[in-house]
Amino acid sequence: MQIRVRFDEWARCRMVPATLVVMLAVVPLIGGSTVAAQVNHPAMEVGTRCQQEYQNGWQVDVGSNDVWNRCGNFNDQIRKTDSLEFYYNLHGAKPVLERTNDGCGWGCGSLDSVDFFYTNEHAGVNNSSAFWTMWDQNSLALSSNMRLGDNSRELMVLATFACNTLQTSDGNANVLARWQSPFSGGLVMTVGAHASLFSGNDQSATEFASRMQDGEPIGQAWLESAWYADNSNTPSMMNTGRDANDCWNRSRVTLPSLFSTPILRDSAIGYFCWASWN
Amino acid sequence: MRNCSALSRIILSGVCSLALASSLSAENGPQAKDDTSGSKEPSHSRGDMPVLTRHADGTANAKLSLLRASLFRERSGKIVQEKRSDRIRAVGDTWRLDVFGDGSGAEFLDQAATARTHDSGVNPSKAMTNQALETAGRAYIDRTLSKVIVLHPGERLVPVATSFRTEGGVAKDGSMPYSAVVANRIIFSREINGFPVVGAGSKVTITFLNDGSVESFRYDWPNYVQTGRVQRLAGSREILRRVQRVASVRTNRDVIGEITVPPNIESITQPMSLGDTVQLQDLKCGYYDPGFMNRDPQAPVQAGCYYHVVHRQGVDPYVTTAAYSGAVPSAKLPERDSRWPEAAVLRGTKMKGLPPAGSGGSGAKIQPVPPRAKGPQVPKRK
Repeated sequence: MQIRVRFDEWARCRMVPATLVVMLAVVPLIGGSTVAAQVNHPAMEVGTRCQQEYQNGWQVDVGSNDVWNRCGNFNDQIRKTDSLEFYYNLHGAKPVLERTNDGCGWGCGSLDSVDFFYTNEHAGVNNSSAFWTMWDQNSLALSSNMRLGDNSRELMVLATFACNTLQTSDGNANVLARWQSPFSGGLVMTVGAHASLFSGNDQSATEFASRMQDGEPIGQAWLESAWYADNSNTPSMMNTGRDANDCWNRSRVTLPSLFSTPILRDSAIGYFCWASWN
Repeated sequence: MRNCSALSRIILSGVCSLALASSLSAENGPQAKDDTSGSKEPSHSRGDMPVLTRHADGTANAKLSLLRASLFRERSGKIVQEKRSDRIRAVGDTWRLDVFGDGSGAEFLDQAATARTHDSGVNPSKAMTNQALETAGRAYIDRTLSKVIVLHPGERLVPVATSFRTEGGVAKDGSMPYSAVVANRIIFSREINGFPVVGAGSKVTITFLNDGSVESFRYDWPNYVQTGRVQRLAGSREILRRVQRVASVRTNRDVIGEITVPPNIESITQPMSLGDTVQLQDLKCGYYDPGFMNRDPQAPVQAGCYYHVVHRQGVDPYVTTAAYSGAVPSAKLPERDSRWPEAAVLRGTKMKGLPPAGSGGSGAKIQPVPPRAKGPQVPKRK
């Protein structure tokens, strides 16, 4: 097991002035509340990559600029407390999302170059992989080709507004086949859907970021924001642990506790756990 | 869970709305109509529907006071109140309560309950039944939310769906599979003289743990006031054509398949084809209220049908799903609403959004990524 306490991030923490004001006003009054009005956290490096339309229409454009609006909403909210390092589309993105080149940096928009990655496109699953659609015709980024959290900034959270990537209905063997590889690099958590997520209410991205900033567990923030946006949404979250108990404890990770969450890689991972709304 | 009696009342309510021209106010609403007195026409095609406006009853502060009076009497400890741009938040030791905007919506979340969910998980076969959820939900509304979830004459509180939060897990070697239901959720909506409200408006959602305690609630519950205007509703085939047209414009591809109009278009619950690879997953018609977070405050509440559409494309083993939802106007002549994208689509205009500046790589901002500092506590990689 490899454990690295990201204590250094506390020292580098950049407080947003508005947040600091709220902290000063509220925290002394609530005396260690677990649901403070707004909770400070070490500033994350955040990357966003999204795709509305596709080369030669090889994938559906869901219209109403929903994808651009959703990602813009997420960016607008998260940058109030964190550092948005890039916002790119998904042109030619496959190599920098897979292990081929996932640590190449902000300029190329790679997964491992940030702490938190948010993305919105289409997706699917098969027996061995979850896959995300790139802009480029017939290009798919495969989870089986990913190893996240093992270089550069060491990605901790992968948030995917896309359908099916966390499907569990086809059995645990397929779940493991799809997600062992991405988690083996130390990824702390991923959030997505076990079936459909409907485009249409892009406010859920604002709410997701806002709930996290308020100190809600990241998984809970995702489940609630996505479900309330449309009651037919099927949001899911997944993480790993040394064993089952550790897995459930880690599923409560928040932005304030994210950097101090021990990294689990390869053989240190003993259990996969998930939660979802149907 | 579907409320069939509500739907049958809608079907039979073709002419009932004509009697609703009298003004409706929060204090003096209309008398409830005999919803079964209308035509048996199984369609909206002969129906009219009064146009409403949405109002908050009181202020956000007043609503917070009402909720505090009923909710917090069972809770001790210090409460801190904070005003934000879009809400007032009250915070206790383990819980928070937000009252949104004009006071017509609120959300309560008890993190102490959330912390118990895993330990109180049950086998999925032992999750709360729909009936048990409805009973518990109605009792909670009566006990705690009766000052804010107010029904006026002609209005009914109806259960429309349930949802369950499940947990699952498996060891890396495939052993120790786990599955449990940890929370049970019921959603109530409102019927107004037999017409349901579709969309996020007029919803009350309550989440129970398996031990019966409440983890959270959220509602969007305005007052509706009649404008005196009445809309003639479009026919069933026209409504489905509108869904097809919206799907075509949204996706920039033809969605023109032949459609078989089902007998009850007011609530389609089984998937039906709209064209090649395109399915209408469900459709529900009534008053469309997108909720306080997504609506134009100046716009009326008018006839609409909420849809879920799914596109599947690709070839096995790389099949992808694209899913989108929204509402199409179901009045023959919809009134203007600046935040109703489908209404804009049907008028021939498009909503704008902001694509990202670039795709990364050449020409994009190139910056080094600072690695995490590696302190002495960091063990060497094996």
